[in-house]
Amino acid sequence: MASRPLFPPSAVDLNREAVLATVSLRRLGKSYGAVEVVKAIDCEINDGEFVVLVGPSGCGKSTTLRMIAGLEPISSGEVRIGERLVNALPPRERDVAMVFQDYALYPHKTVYENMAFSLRMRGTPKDEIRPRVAEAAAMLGIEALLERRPSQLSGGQRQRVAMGRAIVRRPQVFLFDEPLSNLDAKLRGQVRAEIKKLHQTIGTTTVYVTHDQVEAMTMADRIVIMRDGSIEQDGTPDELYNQPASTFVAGFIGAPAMNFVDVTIENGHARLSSGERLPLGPRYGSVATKAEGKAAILGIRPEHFQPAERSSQRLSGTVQIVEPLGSDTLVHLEIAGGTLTARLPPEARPSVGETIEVGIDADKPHLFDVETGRALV
Amino acid sequence: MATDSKRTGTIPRHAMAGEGPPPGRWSRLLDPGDTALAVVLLAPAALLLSLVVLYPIGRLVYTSFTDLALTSGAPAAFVGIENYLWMLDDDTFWQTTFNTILITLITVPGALVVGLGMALLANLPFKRKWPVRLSLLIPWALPLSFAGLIFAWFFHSEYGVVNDVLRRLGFEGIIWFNSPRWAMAAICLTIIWKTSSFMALIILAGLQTIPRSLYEAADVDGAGRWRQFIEITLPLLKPAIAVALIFRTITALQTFDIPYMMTRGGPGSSTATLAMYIHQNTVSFLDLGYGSALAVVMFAISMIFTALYLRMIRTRG
Amino acid sequence: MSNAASADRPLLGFSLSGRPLRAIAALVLLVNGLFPAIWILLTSLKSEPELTRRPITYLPEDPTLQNFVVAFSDQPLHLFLFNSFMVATLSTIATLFVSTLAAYAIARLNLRYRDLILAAIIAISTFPLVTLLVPLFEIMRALGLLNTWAALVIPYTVLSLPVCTLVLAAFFEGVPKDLENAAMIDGCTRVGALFRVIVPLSAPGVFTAAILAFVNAWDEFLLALSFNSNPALRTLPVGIQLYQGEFNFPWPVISAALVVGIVPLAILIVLFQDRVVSGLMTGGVKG
Repeated sequence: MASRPLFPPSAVDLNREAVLATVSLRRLGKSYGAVEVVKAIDCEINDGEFVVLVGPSGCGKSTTLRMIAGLEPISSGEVRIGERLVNALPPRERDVAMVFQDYALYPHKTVYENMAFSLRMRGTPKDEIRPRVAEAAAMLGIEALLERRPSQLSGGQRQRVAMGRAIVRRPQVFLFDEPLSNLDAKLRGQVRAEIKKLHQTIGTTTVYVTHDQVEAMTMADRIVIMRDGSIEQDGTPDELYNQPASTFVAGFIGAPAMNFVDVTIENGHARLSSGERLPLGPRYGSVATKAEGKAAILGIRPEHFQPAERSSQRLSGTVQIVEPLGSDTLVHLEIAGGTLTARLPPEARPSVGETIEVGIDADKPHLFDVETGRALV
Repeated sequence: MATDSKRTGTIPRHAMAGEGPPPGRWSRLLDPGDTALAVVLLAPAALLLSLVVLYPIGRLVYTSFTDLALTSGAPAAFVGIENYLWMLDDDTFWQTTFNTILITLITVPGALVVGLGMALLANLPFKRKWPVRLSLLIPWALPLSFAGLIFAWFFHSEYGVVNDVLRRLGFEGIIWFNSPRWAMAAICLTIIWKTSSFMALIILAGLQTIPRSLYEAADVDGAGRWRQFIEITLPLLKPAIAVALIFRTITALQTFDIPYMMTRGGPGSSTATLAMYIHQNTVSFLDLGYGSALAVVMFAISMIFTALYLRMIRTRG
Repeated sequence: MSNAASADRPLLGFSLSGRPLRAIAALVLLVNGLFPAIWILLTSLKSEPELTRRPITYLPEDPTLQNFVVAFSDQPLHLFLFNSFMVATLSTIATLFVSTLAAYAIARLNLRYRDLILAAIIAISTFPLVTLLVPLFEIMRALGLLNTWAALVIPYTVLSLPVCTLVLAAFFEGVPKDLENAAMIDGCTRVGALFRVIVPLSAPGVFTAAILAFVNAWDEFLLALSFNSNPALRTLPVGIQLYQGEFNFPWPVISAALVVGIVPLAILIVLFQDRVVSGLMTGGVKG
């Protein structure tokens, strides 16, 4: 059945070499009946870029990826790969390769056969298949596994075979669907680095879906944060970390998560419910005056806290929990009726119940609108 | 670590660009939507079913209103409900219907009780499971017609093993197939033997899905073995048993092979079933009109039970 | 399944438990299940004089294979075997093909009338064959298929279609969806993915369905009895009746023929009992 493509591709297609492997999502939407899972999103992914779609489960990131792959019919809008409108194309004609969450290795085929399958399906000549599989296997260090079956491999090895199966194709675009979620923490860090290195080597345009912000921050050229089917923010990891567009992004990126405190803006200060006031530095500019007297949300990252002696801006709080991490100490403080987490130097060891003062880098905290959660700066 | 940049550098950046087959108009035919694909995939089955089931039923109903008979060579004439009226006065029809119901009423509960017993025995912790499993599977796989023949030999009045055992125990041998009552008994015993192993297999599967922890909880609660059987095993088996029962009932109503092989319906028509009567009217008497009317009645009865069966499966999920 | 099972529950309230009970239980089950087949085997080894003696003998005193020789010479038993084998094999292949397609549609496509289709399949599995006797006879006659294998192969294909479809659909549902997706990204069409990935991965299910279809066809009697009047085309269950004369009933020869008919089935069952049991559980078949 359908063993040969109707139009076998020529081995070298000169027209296609010049094509830039960009991916454009234009007003892309997906709905199941009345339920909109992806809401007319726009996103341009540049040639060779490593873009991570990140967000909590149910935000529509996987659906978006599957629409790019052709595994999910598109409800509205369009997907273009290298300027080619692919909406109506089946997955096999989109020239993408995908690494699945559970790897989806064919259990009845050996590693070699798994990797060779897509080449065979495309009618690649036999004498070309072997060197290409060998090359991909060498890249991933799985040459020794070629004759094994997936059931004889460890989780990390399977993961690598799944990547091998993708790169052997030399597709225009790599798609990753939470590829690390089935690995243990140690292996995850290792494979993360490998994927990044692989991308640096072969430079293929990559769309990577994960719910893990650490993966997003460490690997991405650009991060697209999704929430309820819409793009919440789109930018480099630094932009997202330093200029979160909303409390959602601010809370999602960074670990431990950003602390949020209800404040009122008064005379260029943020006043906490406890009455303590933090000056708003020059960075906040006109915001401080425009929002005078209004309520706002102050976002303070744990790493914005300092030992009290290093800053003139201080807050005092009751120590609730102390978590020594070795490199730092996390201290949970009760401040103004809420619990805030502060990342302090490793030697900081306050005792529980004690009231201590911590300093704050006054120019760092973020201000958000109370109603919309959007950033005020 | 696993990558070797010297080697991987051999893939030129732009060789990455696409290599899939160019989309062509013809290849669209390979990618129908879900609905179109479903139609294509279900078409062979639908075609076969229309040829072998749907059309025949229509044809059957039509024929039942005619006097089509292969003996006369005359073209079939429309006779309205005459065949059905004839049925009302046909003693053999009533006799065979009665026999069919009797066989159903005896063999279905009989097979259930025997099957339940066998399942409980088979559920014991045997070291090797296969001999027991085999002893349940062989009766299932044995053709009904073979079972009929084999048991006819068992019940042979002179040299049958059943009578031999009876005589050894000091009883008179029974001439099984000369008496309507004993013949029916022999047939029912045979059917129970043949069908109880299927019941046992279904019940056994049900037994093995009951979590052990329930029994351990009952142990803790102080329930004895018998109470555990009544309070845990039976209620949890109920769905499986219900489905098996109704399925068995449907097949019992179609009983043909075993009585055909053992008695040909005799003595007289005392052990003939409705299915045998339909077969006789059509194949032996070539009275297709009347045979069809009988078949319509059987079809209707069967449909009632099938509807019941479907409802049961649905509520069971 | 069996791990969570109440595997070593002692039976009901009997104080008897452990080894003796198990031995008795095994004996009861084995005798019940195997005695008829064994008895037929013993009968087939006895001579006619030994058989017509009272009290009857249990083990043959003077075992002979003569009955098997007669069974093959009296009637074309080899032809019956061949016909049964061909009819069963052909209908099994046809059923597998048709039910694979249907099962995929049921297991994987978003069918609007999925429940209705399933209900129809189950309804057909309970269908009384005897009611189709007349119209099927007419159809086969109209198609000129009476006295051909096709007259049986076609209805047998339908006979096993429901159970095979249910078994296969259950197995197909167990194949991770992403494997199919991976195949489609790797260059397969949906149907290509079905035959290259899903069917090979469901091999146990396909095998189970095949055995059930084969046994169904091997066992069928009514249609075989009614549709083929040509002796050369008879299947085993029909052919075995021919040994009976008007007045005599040559039990040793009939037994020999029965043994010949049971052996292939027994081999099938012994070799593949696991598959058969799992198939029965999914499909719910004949009783």
